[in-house]
Order: sequence, then structure tokens, then C-alpha cells
Amino acid sequence: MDAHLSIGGLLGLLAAGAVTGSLGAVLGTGGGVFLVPILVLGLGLPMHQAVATSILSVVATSSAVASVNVERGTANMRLGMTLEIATSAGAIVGGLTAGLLTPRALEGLFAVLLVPTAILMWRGRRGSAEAQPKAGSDESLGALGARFEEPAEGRTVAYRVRRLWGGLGVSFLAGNVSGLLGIGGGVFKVPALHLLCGVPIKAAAATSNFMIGVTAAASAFLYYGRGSVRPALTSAVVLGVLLGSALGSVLNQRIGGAFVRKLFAVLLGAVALQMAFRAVRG
Amino acid sequence: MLMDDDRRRQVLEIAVHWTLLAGLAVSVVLMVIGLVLALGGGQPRSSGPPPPIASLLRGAFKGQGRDWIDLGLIVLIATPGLRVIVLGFGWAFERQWRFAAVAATVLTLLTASMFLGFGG
Repeated sequence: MDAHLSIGGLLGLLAAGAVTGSLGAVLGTGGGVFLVPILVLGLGLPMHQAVATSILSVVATSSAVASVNVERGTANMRLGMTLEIATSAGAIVGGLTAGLLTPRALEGLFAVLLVPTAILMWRGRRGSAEAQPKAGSDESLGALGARFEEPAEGRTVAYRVRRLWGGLGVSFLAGNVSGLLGIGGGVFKVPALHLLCGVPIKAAAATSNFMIGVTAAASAFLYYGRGSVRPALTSAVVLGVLLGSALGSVLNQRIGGAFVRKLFAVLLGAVALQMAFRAVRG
Repeated sequence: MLMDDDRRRQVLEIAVHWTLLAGLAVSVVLMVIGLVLALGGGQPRSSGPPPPIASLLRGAFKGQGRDWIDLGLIVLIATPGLRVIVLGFGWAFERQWRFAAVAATVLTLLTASMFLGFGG
């Protein structure tokens, strides 16, 4: 592809990126779970190059979304930065490990990851009791606690962070998976932040997204430096993903959630089967 | 005290917001220029270890699309790191030494990753 860049090829890559970017924005999941299979199964890209392309796309989308969440005050930067110690270390380990694994092994691992992702997508994000929202003095929130405005409810939500060590452990694992498979890792980080650390779901999603950029960058250096990135292909996909994410944010307001989510859960399940088949058969 | 803390936090949030947007914007512009130039006749680089940055800059100056693309990708990957630097300096300025140290640790890990990737 790179050796003969054509307008048609470029538009195709932009479209592939746009589709995954908009799917990610509409379905509330990172585009990596869609992008890697599209690149491998649809465009025939080797798995390591697909992962490298996806990880750079994740850096781009995370930076875009995080800039908005930070400005809104929902991303907890102190907590996110603290957990980034673990996710960055995990991402480096994951990126290094990926270099040692065969493409079939990576495809098999990706298929395994898609199964719980599909299940979570089918079930959707269940509302759970928000962590002890109370407006208190900053001293009562601890060093990592925070407050954010909830305009829809007209109140300030304040929270303390619990079980930081548990959050660090899950963050390390999430970073590992991110570096290994080219995804953001939010599917692990958001539940960990919300259920383990007691962060309200809105702040958990925003903080997770805030962290994902650094997590992805940590392994992106590895992939780029060892030559797994195809520059023209990757840049076209990245641009497409950014466009698609912007479009998806608009569509998100108009598209009903449950049916689309279940439809793509089934699609992800089918993709998982196909990638598992490839891993087994070669 | 609370309002001062809120104001300082908001200043940092604005700084991070613009750092991320600026990095992303610069990388997008570089990549678009590179793709347009590559379509116009320059041959894109196939996969493989990237050339040194000095070589990329020389090539970009000569209008090589592939080098503009690589520079765009490098800026993209560096953008989250720039955000870490901004936060580190911000917290240090506020004398929040614990979080400044956290930022320094994250930056060290990113730097290690860079050396592992380009030096390995």
C-alpha cells in the first residue's frame, strides 16, 4: 500500500478510519476493537502493523476527547496521572511482549479480548449507585478526590478515591493489554475506577480517557521505533478516525442506543470467531 | 482557599486543554501536507525503522511528503508527553511536589519507552 499511494487507496483508508471512529464514538468504546479486525481481516494488514496503526489512532482520539473532558473539569488529572505510572509501565511491557509474539498468537489474544468486550457491549453500561456524592471541603476528599459540576442535575458531585492500589494493579494490566493489542484499555479502566476506586461513572470515563493517551503513547514509541508503523497508511487511518469520532459524537445524540449496541455486540462476537479461526488455522 | 485552589486547577486544565489541541492540530497539519505531497509524486516510506529526525527535517524542507508524514506521527506520539510536562511544571509551580514527582515519573517512563523504541 505505502509504495503506491493512490487517491482511491487513501480514500479507502480514510473511510475505514472514519467508520471505526464513528462506531467508537456512538457505542462508547474505543475504536481499536473495530479498527484492528478491519485492518487485518479487511485490508490484509499483518497483525503487528494493524496494532501499531490502532495504537496511534488511540493516541489521536484520546487527545481530542481528553482535551474536552479536561476543559469541562470531569477528568481527574491527579488521579489519572498517578495511575499513569502503572498504565505506562504496563504498556511498555505489553509493547515489548508483542515484539516477541507471533502474529497468530496476537490474533488469538485479540479474539479472546473481543469476547468480554462483546458481552459488555450487549449488556450495556448499567447504572450503579454513584459513589458517595457530597459536597464537602477539599480536605475531606483526600489528595486524589475531586469535584465536578453535573449540569443535568444542577449539582456538584464530590468523591473520595478508595483502593488506590487496586486501581494501580488494574491499570497496569490495562496498559499491558493496550500495548499488546493496540486498544485503549478503557474497557478495564472505567470499571476499575468506578467500582474499585469509587469514582462516579462520568468522571471514571473522563479520567480513563485522559489516561489512555499516555498509555498508548508509551507503547507507540516502541512500535514506531522498531518499524511496525506504515506511515502513510497510519496517517490516513488516523485522520479518518478523527473525522469519524467527530461525526460519531454528533450521531450519538440521534441514534437509539440499545439496538445498535446489541447489533454490534453480535458483530464483535462474529469478528472474534473469525480472528480465533485465523489464529488457529494460520 | 477553596476558590484559589479551584482557580489554580482551572488554569492547569486550560493549559492541558490547549496543549492537547495544539499538538493534535500540528500533527494533523503535518500529516495532511505529507499525504498531499506523497500523492503528488513522492514515494511514501514503507514500514521499517524511521530515519533520524534531522534527516526527516531535511527531507521535509525539500518537500518530501514521506518526511512530513513521519514528522506528523512523531508530534502525535509526543503530544501526551507534552501534556505530562505541562502538568508537571504546573504542579511544581503550585508546590504540589508529590504530583510533580508523579509527573516526572511518568515522563521518565515515556522517555524510557522512546529510547527502547529507537535505540533497540
